Amino acid sequence: MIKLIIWAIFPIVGIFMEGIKRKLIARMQNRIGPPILQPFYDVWKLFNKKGATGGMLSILPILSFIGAWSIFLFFPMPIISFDFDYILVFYMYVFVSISLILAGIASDSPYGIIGSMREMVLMLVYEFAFFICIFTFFLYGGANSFTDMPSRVLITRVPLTIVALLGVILIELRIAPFDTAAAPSEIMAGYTTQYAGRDLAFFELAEMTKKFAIVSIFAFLTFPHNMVWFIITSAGMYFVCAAAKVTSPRFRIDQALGAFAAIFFLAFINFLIFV
Amino acid sequence: MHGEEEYVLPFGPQHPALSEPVLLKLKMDGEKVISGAAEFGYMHRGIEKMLEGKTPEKGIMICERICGICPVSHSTCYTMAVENAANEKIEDKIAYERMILAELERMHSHLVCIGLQMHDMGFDTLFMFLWRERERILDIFEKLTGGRVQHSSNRISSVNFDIYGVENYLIEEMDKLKKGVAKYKKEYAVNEILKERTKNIGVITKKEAEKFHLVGPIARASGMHQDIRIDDPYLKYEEFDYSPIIFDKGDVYERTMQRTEEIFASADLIKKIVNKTPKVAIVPSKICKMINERCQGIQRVEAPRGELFYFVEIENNQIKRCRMRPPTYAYIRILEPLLTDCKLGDVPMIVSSIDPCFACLDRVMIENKILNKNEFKKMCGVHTHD
Repeated sequence: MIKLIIWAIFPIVGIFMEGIKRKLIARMQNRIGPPILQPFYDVWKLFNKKGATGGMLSILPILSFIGAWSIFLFFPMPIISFDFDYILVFYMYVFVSISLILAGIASDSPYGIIGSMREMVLMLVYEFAFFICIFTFFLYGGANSFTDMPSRVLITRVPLTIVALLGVILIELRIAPFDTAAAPSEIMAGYTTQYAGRDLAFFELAEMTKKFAIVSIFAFLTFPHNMVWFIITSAGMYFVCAAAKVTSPRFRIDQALGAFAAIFFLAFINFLIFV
Repeated sequence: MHGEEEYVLPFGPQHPALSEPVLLKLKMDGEKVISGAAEFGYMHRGIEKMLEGKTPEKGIMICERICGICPVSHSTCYTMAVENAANEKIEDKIAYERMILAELERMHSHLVCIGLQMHDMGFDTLFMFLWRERERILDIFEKLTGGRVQHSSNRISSVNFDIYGVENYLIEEMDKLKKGVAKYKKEYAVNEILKERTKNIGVITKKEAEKFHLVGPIARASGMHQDIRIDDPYLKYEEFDYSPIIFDKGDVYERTMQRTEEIFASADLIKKIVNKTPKVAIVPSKICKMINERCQGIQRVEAPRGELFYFVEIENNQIKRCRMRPPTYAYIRILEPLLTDCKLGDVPMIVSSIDPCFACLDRVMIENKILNKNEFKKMCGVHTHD
């Protein structure tokens, strides 16, 4: 029961973390920034507005939010658990991205389609690297599922994988230098350009939840499994991401691919060493 | 978009990367831009027509409102054209003060341009820091003239403000500003991602620059020796030895660096001018001079974006015709060649690196067909009942 309640509040934590990230970025840029609860107000305002009228346009946002939320069923406090559940979790991550891409294509706006195209191109590289990272962790930990995952620090054994996972987090959090798929100065809002109201609210919720999910899988895999470490690591990750955003401009799509190929190889090296 | 290989992406008129409305029709193939066509006219306000029939003194107010970033250049150029028409001589002190304001405006405009370029690259931190330095210049403007954006600084053969008493403040602020900009310049001179994004992008060679008759900073970044302050000195520019800042490669990076160096040069120039200005207060005159005979005058000045040209014809103390050629009008033709064969990610940077001002540009509307008499009258707003 307690686990279910904790599972229910994870999206709220995700929104809260987004607020903290915005505040961090603002403080690093030497300005005051929005209040930490600003993402709540944004989502609340969007929920009070009318959405699209049916079809794919209103189904996809809800699907993507459910996909992102259900990642938390498996970790950090497992409600469902079975052998090789990390493969399903990986598919959940992909599912959220796929529904965003489909939403961009369904909106039939050139900006949405270009955003989806960019996301697809990047996905081919980063989702693969992401899977290799997760797989390497499970290989080194000698576990089959999230419940068996030993609670010990793996940093010394898989340093390259951790670096690669950091790169994946940057790209998943749409953080500069890898925020090419949602570059506002090039393609406006990318795949969500045509969305408004309730649908956009679901998309924002899905994205924020997914971002928190990806930060928390890092915290879960690399550090001991207790609440204090979990909070410290995920907050630290948001800090690193804010610092990355503040200090670097955005890559162009081809440059992002080049940089990401390097990250992919880093992920692969540690994997090969084990095999 | 349905199954075709090429499609047209409407970049604008409203777009986060554009600070003013313009429509760029980009013919795309995936991420590649095959060609781009620009459509203007969203900022047309009929200013030349508005000026007709006004007294020369009132014209200053309208000319200032052509552009929000270079109002001083517009009003200075207009005032000097009127003074040339009426054969008026101005005092040395007034010339120096106009120069100080013009150089301040140049620094302000360049900071805006570089900041926007950083913003288009996704580098919001530098964008905010550079605009904070710009705030310093706006404060100086406020202290000198009372206005932060529109200054109403010029009058025919006089100025509305005085630097008497604030010379030390000006020099101190220039030192602080130079220090601040130098700090941020170091940031973007060493950032590897930024270099990768901007080097060899949107290259204008010297040959192209001469072919398209470019003006201002973008011409100087491509290696052209073009600076009205030196080629055709106005006010008191010939008294100061000022050499133009020339770069030779002409890509987005060089244009950014060229503008940064010009900020330093302008700050130095302001310090020299302040030291040379006679330390006496200006006696303001409340009399508007009447220009009754028919006369014509021209003037060109170096606005922040390049050569600005004014032609004024006056009769019976009324403006009969006023024609201006702003710098953007001179170099905007380079935009279409630059937008061929580039990546979509480069488009906002290319557009912001040539620093176009569409409010300056939209002087005249051209219809692509021959009008008959009635249509022409209708377009001019003359209602006929026949």
